[in-house]
Amino acid sequence: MTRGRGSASILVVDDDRLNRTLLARTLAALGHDVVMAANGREALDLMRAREPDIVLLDVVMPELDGIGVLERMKGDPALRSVPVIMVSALEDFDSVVHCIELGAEDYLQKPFDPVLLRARVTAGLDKRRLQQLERERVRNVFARFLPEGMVDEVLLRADGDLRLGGVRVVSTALFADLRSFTGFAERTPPDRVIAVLNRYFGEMSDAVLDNGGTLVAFLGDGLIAVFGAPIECDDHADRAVAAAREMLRDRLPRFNAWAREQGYAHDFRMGIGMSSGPLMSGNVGSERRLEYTAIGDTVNTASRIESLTKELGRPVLVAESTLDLMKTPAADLVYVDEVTVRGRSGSTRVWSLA
Amino acid sequence: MLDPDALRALSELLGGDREALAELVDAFLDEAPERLAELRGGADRGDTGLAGRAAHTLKSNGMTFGAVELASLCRRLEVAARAGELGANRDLIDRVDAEWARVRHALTALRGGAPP
Repeated sequence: MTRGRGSASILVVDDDRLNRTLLARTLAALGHDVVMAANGREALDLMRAREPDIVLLDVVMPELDGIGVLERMKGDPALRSVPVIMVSALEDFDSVVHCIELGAEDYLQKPFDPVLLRARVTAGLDKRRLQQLERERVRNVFARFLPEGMVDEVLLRADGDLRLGGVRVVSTALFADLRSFTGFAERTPPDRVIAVLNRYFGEMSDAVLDNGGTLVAFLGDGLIAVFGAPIECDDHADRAVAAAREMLRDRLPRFNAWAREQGYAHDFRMGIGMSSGPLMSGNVGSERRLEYTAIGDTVNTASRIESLTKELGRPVLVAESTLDLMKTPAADLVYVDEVTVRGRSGSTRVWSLA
Repeated sequence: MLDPDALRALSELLGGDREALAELVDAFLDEAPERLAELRGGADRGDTGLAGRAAHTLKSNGMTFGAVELASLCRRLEVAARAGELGANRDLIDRVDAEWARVRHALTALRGGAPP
């Protein structure tokens, strides 16, 4: 929707035709785009079809009154943040107080004063713009570590709060490590090391996000991702295996080809390990420095399985817990061995990609 | 009948748009008879909610055009409806009808372009 600067989409809700027309005409004269509703139900339908920037809402209406509309708006995550200015006669003062308590932005008394109308609408719209900027900022924070399609759902659940409430879900944790990078880094100028690392992380992050995973952290030359959190999904194990496959077969060769073009006579290799089970995840930190984190035994196991890739001479190791949770068996998974994972009693069987 | 200050304010609100003013007058002329019928009907049937809302709307519309007396009568009726005392205020309804006849006349003149 393109609108001129200062022009906004305003929904006027009033059962009284005269008052509705008067408000609409006045706001239109101020250059706004006005939509009218004659009752509460019509107003909610219109809002759901096209979210207005601000709503002017009459208190006294038959059927669904202004209070009812406001209550429904506040109960709907998609409409909760639309500013509402109650329009009422002096006699409805108690209702207006109730509406403000329910979350209405302000009120305007009938017959309305044009200067006040303009001031209240402008203030409401300013608040709306700030809200939209803040929403955009929060969105950008989430978009850094979440797949595109998941951002809106997470935002809706988080209700605009950056500190995503912790969840405990069955998911798959994946660790990926760039082998023999330390030696390479020691004999390469620092700016080049960072460029190579960024190229590598760019490729691998895409493999995670494109398969619906969430980026948890970059540690040195290592990457941690989870699949199935913060939004649960049935096929997190399949997605994690698919991401590992993509990293190993497509992304790593492409990265190595790029490195050769850059003049590095170094063939980079990777180690990828994964494990599935319950894990806790959420945002931690402050508003200024925020990280998504995943903790729990499943995460530790994935890390330890990843460290086994070196000694077992396999680039990818998939824990039995992941294999068990796969929805579709992968024909390219081959059994490797039964291994003892450090810090765990008992042994775990592991598979690798053929 | 119609307070000139209120009419001037209304005209300013509409940016001096005569067409918009005519649209508003038409809306009032069209809607008011229904509200008056609801007011009387509600009072007859003891439907204070209906009568109260009708009085509320007529009051608010009246104030928009500076129909001070009409608005004042309707305000009293609205309060009476809330208090469940419409029965004791039947004479007010008759006065509203009579006042409306005068207001309608003034509005029609306004609609025709009479200076406010």
